[in-house]
Parts: sequence; C-alpha cells; structure tokens
Amino acid sequence: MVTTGNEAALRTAPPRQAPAYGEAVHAGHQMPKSKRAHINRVALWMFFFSESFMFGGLLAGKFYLAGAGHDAHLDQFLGLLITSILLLSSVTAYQAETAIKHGKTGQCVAWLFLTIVFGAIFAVGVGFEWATAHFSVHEPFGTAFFAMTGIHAAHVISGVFMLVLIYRLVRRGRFGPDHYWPVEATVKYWHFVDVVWVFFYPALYLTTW
Amino acid sequence: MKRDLGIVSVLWLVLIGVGLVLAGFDVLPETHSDKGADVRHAWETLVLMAVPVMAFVIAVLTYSFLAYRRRGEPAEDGPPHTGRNWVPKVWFVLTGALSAVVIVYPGLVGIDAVMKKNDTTDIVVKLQATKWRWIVQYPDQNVTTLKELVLPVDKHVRFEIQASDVLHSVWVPAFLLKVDAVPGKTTYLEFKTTKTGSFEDNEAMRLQCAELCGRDHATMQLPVRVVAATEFDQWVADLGGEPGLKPSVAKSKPGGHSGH
Amino acid sequence: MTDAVAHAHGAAGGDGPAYTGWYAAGRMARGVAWAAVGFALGVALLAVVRNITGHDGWSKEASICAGYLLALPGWLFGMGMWDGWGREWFGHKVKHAPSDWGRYFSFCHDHKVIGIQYLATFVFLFLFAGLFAMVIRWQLLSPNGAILTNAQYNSVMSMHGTVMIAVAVAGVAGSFGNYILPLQLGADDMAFPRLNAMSFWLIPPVAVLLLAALPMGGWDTGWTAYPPLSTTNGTGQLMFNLAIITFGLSSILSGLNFICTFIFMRAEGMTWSRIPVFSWSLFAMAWIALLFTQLFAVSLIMVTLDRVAGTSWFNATHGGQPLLYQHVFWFYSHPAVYIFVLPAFGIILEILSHLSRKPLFAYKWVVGAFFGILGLSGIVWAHHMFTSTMDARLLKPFLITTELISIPTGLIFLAALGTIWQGKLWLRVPMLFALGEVFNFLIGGVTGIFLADLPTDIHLQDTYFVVAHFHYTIVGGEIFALFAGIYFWYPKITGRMYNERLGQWHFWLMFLGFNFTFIPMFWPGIQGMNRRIAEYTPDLQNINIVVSVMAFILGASFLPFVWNMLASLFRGERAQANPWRARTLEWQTTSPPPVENFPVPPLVTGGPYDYGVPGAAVHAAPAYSAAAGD
Repeated sequence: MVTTGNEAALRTAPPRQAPAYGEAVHAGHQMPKSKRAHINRVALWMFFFSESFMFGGLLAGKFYLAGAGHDAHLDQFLGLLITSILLLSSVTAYQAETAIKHGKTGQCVAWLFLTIVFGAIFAVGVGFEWATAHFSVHEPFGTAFFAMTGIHAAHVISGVFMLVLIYRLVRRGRFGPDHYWPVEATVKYWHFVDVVWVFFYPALYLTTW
Repeated sequence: MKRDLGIVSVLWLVLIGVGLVLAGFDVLPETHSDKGADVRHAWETLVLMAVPVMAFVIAVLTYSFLAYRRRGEPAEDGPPHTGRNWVPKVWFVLTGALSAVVIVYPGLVGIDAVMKKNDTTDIVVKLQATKWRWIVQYPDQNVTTLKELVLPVDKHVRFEIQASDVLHSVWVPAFLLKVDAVPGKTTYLEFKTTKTGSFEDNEAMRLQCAELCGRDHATMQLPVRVVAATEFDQWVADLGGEPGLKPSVAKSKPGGHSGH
Repeated sequence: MTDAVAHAHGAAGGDGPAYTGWYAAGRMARGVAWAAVGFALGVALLAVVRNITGHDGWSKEASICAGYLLALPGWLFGMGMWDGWGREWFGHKVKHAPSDWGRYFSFCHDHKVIGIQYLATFVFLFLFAGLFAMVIRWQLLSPNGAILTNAQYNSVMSMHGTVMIAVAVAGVAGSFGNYILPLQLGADDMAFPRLNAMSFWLIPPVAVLLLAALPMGGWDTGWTAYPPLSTTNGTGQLMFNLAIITFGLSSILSGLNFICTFIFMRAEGMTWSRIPVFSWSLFAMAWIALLFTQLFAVSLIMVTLDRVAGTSWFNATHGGQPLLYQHVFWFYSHPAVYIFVLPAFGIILEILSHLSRKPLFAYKWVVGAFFGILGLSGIVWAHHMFTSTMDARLLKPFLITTELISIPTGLIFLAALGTIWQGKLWLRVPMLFALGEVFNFLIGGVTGIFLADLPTDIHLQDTYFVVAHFHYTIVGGEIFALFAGIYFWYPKITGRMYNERLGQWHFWLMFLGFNFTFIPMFWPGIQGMNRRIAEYTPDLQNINIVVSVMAFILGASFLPFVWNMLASLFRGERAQANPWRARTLEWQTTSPPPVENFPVPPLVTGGPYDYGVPGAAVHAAPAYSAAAGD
C-alpha cells in the first residue's frame, strides 16, 4: 500500500469560515493577542541582535584602524556628561513603560517627556562635540569617532522621533494596561541604543594604549 | 542489496582508475620557482585525495540513476532503511579524518613551506604597482625599467612590493606564487628561481596584476625572463647599471608575504 | 473545487478596489512621485545643513545619499505601505491591496503573492544578468577582446556579478522561502506579513539604482567593491553602494520574518522532528541573513563615508587600512554563500526523498549539518584573503576552520546518496535537476578544497579556477536547485502542470551546457588566466572559444524554459492537489492554495518523509477533503 498522507482525514475540527481576501492577508490578526505580543517581543530582540552585529563591526573597525587609543583633545567632561544623561534617560523611559502598564497615562506622558528631553540633550551634546572637535575626519581616530558617534546619533534621533510619536499617542489615550506594545517596543529600542553607547563610550573616550 | 553494493564497488574502482589516469596529466604551468614546486606537491596530493572521493559519489549517483529509475510513476514506495544509524556515524568519522589529513598535509605543512623566509637574499627587486603598469627597480644594481622583469636563475629573490593607488597583486603564473600589493604598506615575496625561461616561450612567464584595479587591469603585465647569472649581468650593464649580485643580509623583515 | 478557489481569489475581494489594474498602476505612480518629493527634500535639507555648518553649498554624491535616504521611504509609503500599514499608526483603518491580478503589483501581504513576486522578479533578473554573461563570453572569444573596451567590459562584468549575487541571495530564499515555508509549516501566513511585503518592495529600488549606475559609467569593481578602487572611481559606485545596502535591509527583514515564522507559526503537532528539511534549511539560512548581512552594510557604509564624508577608513595616505574592508566584507560575504546553498540543499533533499519514494536518509544529521555550517560560516572568512597580506598568524586558523566545513557538507551528500539508494526513482524534471545538483556541487565542493588550502590557493586565487569553482557552487549548487524547485512546485503555485518534454530539454541542455562550459574553464585558470580581464594571452584563445560556445548553448537552454513556463500557465494540464503524491503539508491543500492556505487548520501527526515505513502515521491530514467534502 502506498502511503501518500492523503488517505484519511484525521482532523475533526469544523472547517474555518473562509475569510475575505483582505482579512486573510492579515494572518497575524487571527492569532491570540498574547501570542502576537510574544512574537513581536522575540522579533524585537532579534532585531537588536542583528543591529548589535553592525555596531560590533564598527567597534572592531575602530580598534583595527585606530588601535586602542583615544585622541588627547577629547572633551572628557562633555563625554561623561552626555553619557550620564543618556543613562538617566533609560531610567525615565523605564518609568514611562511601567506607568502605562499600570494604566497611569499622566505619569507615562511626563516620563516620556523627560526621556525625549534627555535624548535631545544627548544629540545636541554630540553635535557640540563634533563642532568643537580638535581632530579631523581625515585621520584614523577621527574617522572612527565621527562614523561611530554619527551612526549612533542617527539611532538616537530616530529613537527620539519614535518617542515623540508615542508621546502624542499616549496623550490621546491610545494605550492602556492591556495594550501598550508600541510603548514597550519604543522604550526597549531606547534601552538598546543606550546599551550600544555603553560600549562605544569607553572605546572612544577611555581606552588608552 | 549485495548485488547493488558489488556493482557500485566495481564502478567505484573503475572510476578511480579513470581518475588516476586523468590525474596523470600535468595541468599546472611549467614551474620556475622553488616554492612553485611546493605548490605543485600540494596540488598533486589534493588531486590524489580527491579522486576516490569524487569517484565514490559519482559511482553511487550514476548507478542509482541507471538502476533504480522507474518508467512513469512508481507504484510502490522504496525500502525505508530505518535503523542504519551507524552509517552517518562512520561517514562522519571518515570525512573528519579526511579533512584532518588535508589540514595537516598539504595544509599546515604547506603554509610553512610557501611562507618560508629565504636564509639569504641574492637579489632584491622593488616592484612598484601603479595604474596600470609595473615599475621594476633593482636597488643593488641601480637599474630601473618598465619593460621587463629579469631574474638570474638559481638565486634567492626578494620582491619588495608597493602600490601607489589601489590594490594590485603580483602574480607570475610560472612561479605559482601570488601576493597582493596594498597601498600604505610594503609586502614581500621570497623564493628561489630554479629554471631559465622567458615570456616568448611560455606565456606563464609574465608578471600579471591579479587584483582588479580598474580600466586596464587586464593588460597590466610585464614579460618575465629568468636567465643565467652572466646574461643577467650583461642585461644590467646594457641598461647602464652596476652588474654583479650583492647578497644583502636580510634585515629583520618577515618572510614570505606579510605586512608592515 | 478549483472554481471555489478562483472565487476566493477573485470575487471575494472584501474592500479591495474595483479596477485593480488602474489601482496598482496609480499606487506605483504615487510611489515614484513620493520618492521624487523625498529626494528633493533630502537634497534641500542637506544643502541647508551644509550652508549652516560652513561647507561648500553643493556636493553631488552627498546630495544623492541624502536624497535617497528620504526617497526610499517615499517610494515605500507611496506605493502602498501607507495604505496597508502606516495609516494604522495614526489610528486610521488600513486599506487592502486589490484581490485579483492587480495584487501582484501591489503592496500585498499574502505570502503566496510575495513569493510569486520574488520568483518572477528574480527569474527575470537571472535572465537579464545571463545576457551580460553572454556579452562577456562574446568578448572573450578573442584575446584582444571582441567587442568591448576595457572600461565597458569592467562595467558589464560588474553588473553580471552583482545582479547574479542578488539573484543567488534572494532567488531561492525569497521566492520559495515565502511561498512554501508557511505552507510546509501549516501556517496561514508569515509571522509578519506586512514586513514581508516591505522586504519585497525594497527590491525595485535596488534594480533601479543598479540600472541608473550604467549611464553614470557603471562601476568597475565587480561585486566585491574593494577599496581604494571603490573609493576613488565614478559615481556609479555610489549607486552600487546604496543599492546593496538597501538589498541588505531587505535581506535582514526577511531573515527575521523566516525565523519568527519557523518558531511560532507551526501548525498543531508540527514538532521539531516533523519539520520538513526545506523549512529547516531556511531557518538556518535566515540566521545568516539576519546577523551577518549587517556587516556587508557596514563595509559599504564605510566606503560611502570615505567617498562623501572624507573619512579615511581605506585611504592609506591618511592612515586608512584597505585590508579592513576585506575583513568586514568577507565576514558577511562568505556566510552569504550558505545563504545561497542551504535552501538549495533543502530543496534537493526534499525532492530526492519525495521522488525516490524513500525517507530522507539521516534526517537529524542533515539538520545538524545545517547548523554546523551555520556555526562554522562565521569563522572562515579570511580564506578569501590568503594572498591579501593580512597578518600571517591568521593563516593557519582560517585554513583549519575552512577545511572543517567539508564535514557537515559531506553529511548532506550522504543524505542525498542514502536517500536515492535502492529507491524508486521517478525521473521527472525536478528529480533530474536535483540529481544534477548533487553532481555539480560535488565538483564545486572538491575544487573548493584547492582554494581553501593555502599552498594551492596562492597560485589559484583570482584566476578562472575560482570563477569556475564558484559557478559550480552557485549555479551548479543553487540555480539548479532553483529550477528544481520551480518545476517541483509549479503545479502547486499555478495550478497547472508544466510541459514534461520541454522541461527535459531544458534540463539536458542546461546540464550539459553548464558542465561543458565550466569544466574547461578550470584549465585557463590553472594555466595563468586571471579573472575579471577584458583581454588575455593568445595561447589561451582556443580553450576560451570552447568555453564561449558552450556558454552560448547554456544560455540557449533557457529558451525552452521560458516558453514552457509561459505556455503552461495558460495551456498546461490542470494540476491535482498532490501530483507527486508527496507527504509534506504544502501538497495537502488545493493547487493553488486558497488565500488562507488551509480551510481547516492542519493537524500534524507523523514525520514528513515516512515513505514505505510500515504503520507510519500520515504527516498531516489533507485540509481540502474536510473543507470541500471530497
């Protein structure tokens, strides 16, 4: 007897109502909400994993090109200041996420606002660093410095942009304890950008020969 | 089952025979350097190891194709062959052993051979690669030429290679050796010439850029001549240089091809 | 039953627009318009910033980059991402793509539509880049170059290489990955359908950029784009960089999607050991795409920065390191060859099992081998750099890791041979292609040993030996699998059977043409013909003529293919749901599958390849019988 897998219909569940085309192409909408959130969360982490390869490549490129040194003209105070502010912004972002989880929209708005301000200060700080740098883009350390801070700052700015978007939506009351995935995703992204800086900062400001 | 295995084994042996005959043809260019000979040994070893492996796969594939084909749709299923877990294990060990052999010889042993530094250096040639020509300098003979690369036979040669614009690569097919020219650093190639010859007799006797370098990459080449020492002196004299080899003690430079 | 399917596809369009052709064309036009607006905006913004920061007002390449940065989202949103996705972010109801043929030209979320979009695009690109190969072979009929100048040749060669690499990356994974993976897993779609559509619609800008490079003089660095050549040549290079970075983004998003689909979208009962091998291969492949592709982007971002921002990553006069590029580039580009071949292995093992009516031999070992390859792929890159004058201490470790890859690859050969051994071979076209692939990849693999081994590589690097080798692995190993897959799944995708006789013609012409092209090609490489050259030494003319003539036959072999595909689409015999009597899930639904794939959520009860195993449970119940009552 040939087994083709076609002989018996073992399934006893009733046929599903064939959906209209537009609905069917939204497969994600047919699964339970908790599963959807779980998949989203895992996907976000994998996206970070992927991005970390890019930042890791830049980091490796820095050490290959410019060695384990940093330029003596770097403004150490400014570096420490903006690093602290960025780290602080992670705390406020976390507070915002916690607040929306508990349905405290007002608190969430406030924390988000602080986060946006801190993020903007960081971006401005990097811009100031660029404008006052004593080294040029044409030398190895300058190449690594401007490229790495530039690409990181692009992530910061995109993060601020998303925070502003989320901020507006939170203010309109679009999210609550049962639906806060966009807030969570944005905050997680913000943490990730922060963690990247935790690696970039020592590589660019602190390491010496 | 036994019959199948028997026929495949015979087929395998036949194919190995055919492979060995084919392996007997010398496909590499005539070799004019000592390290080229090492490359040659590595090549021959790998060919000999590849023959039984390829013969095995082709034997099974060909036999299966011919013996198990069905006209039209097969009416029944094949034997499921469950419970043969030892086969992948044995295969795993065999392929592992084979690749261990390849890693050691010609791999690691071969690296030491072709990266070896010359004990002495009889002649230093500076090769300057620039779009799209080679500048050949003999510092000890005080000769510079753009026309050809001439080397004395049976001498230890060191190329000192620099690139002025983009990546190039020094390749003399008849030496079976190659090393890139990288802007910003000097790279080296050390070997001993073993046989006279010239581009006119053998087109593999040419210095060819082997790394894509733009428009005229294809024609970035120079004829190479390996000649007797007296002939070399004559050639140097004709160009107004100072004949005679001045064996310079190799300074503390890395051998083979390497950086900085 | 077929009518019911047609009904589901055609009439039940929900809120889809009425005149779908016009709708799709309108959306495309809007995408182009928004892209143009974005481009202008980007250029203007950059000009303002440059003025404020005291630079010269104008820089051509920087302006192109800034413009493109905004043109790309302009295109995506204009062509349908706004309607189908973006509106939701602002609290509006999304609009769906049309439901009849117009959906193939729209921002459609259906994985089957996207799979077909990929397949059509990349088969077209394959034939397009194939024409460039014909031009190359025509040029090499004469040692002095038959038709092209050196500069033209470099552009043609670079275009051929780049487009073919793109075909190799996304041709199999993008098309069959999208079409077949959810079906094999018993899902109704990918985990992220909209992201999936976005991945596809990133591809047209890639093609446009590459074509736009040609009037700018093309780029002459091949697909590898080694600096400093790539940091000092014409603007065509910038187009290449932007195109490939975009393509990388598409690849990363697809990889993410495949992984999530594989993990989370499996049907009830689809345990790890019941997943078909093609799905496994996609899962392993997707990790490479997700992680390593980033490094390709990094390498090209570095090149772009050197060009437009004056950094000195690779500019040796300012302390740059040209070798850094090669490390970063090959860190992706070697694993990339496993993006090519892993799904190819998956396809051929799948076909060998179904069409020899035998279980896949050493199934678990094969899956292990996929992950062995995945793991090793990240630590072998520097074998491309044996002659690059990198640190000599790196040579031995990379030689060892590279040779180790032959062990998992060997297991895949064992599985192929063990599966057909004593089977009942049904030699239809897909089976022929699968067997041909095993033969081709054998040659590709064995010649790879010569290149992995430094003593021989030092002679063979950058010669036609390498060219022949990677054509054996990529064309012989992957493109053969692509065609195997096309013939195998053609009835499933189109609902029609292809023409067997034409298919056989295609196979034999292609198989013989391919082997007689590339076996002789090893010879000039060994003898001293380096690659990427418009002219060569006269001694090698005879062998090059042989190669060229055979290459023309290889090129001609695609004529019956194209005719077969197009004619069978309209005149082919109607296909059954399961013409191969295969066990895997994609065959347990109608051909083509309905929008929701399975009218009844499938329940998986057995292994996918248990042919002839006494008492084996079915892999899964056919979904259509419960739904349609037959």
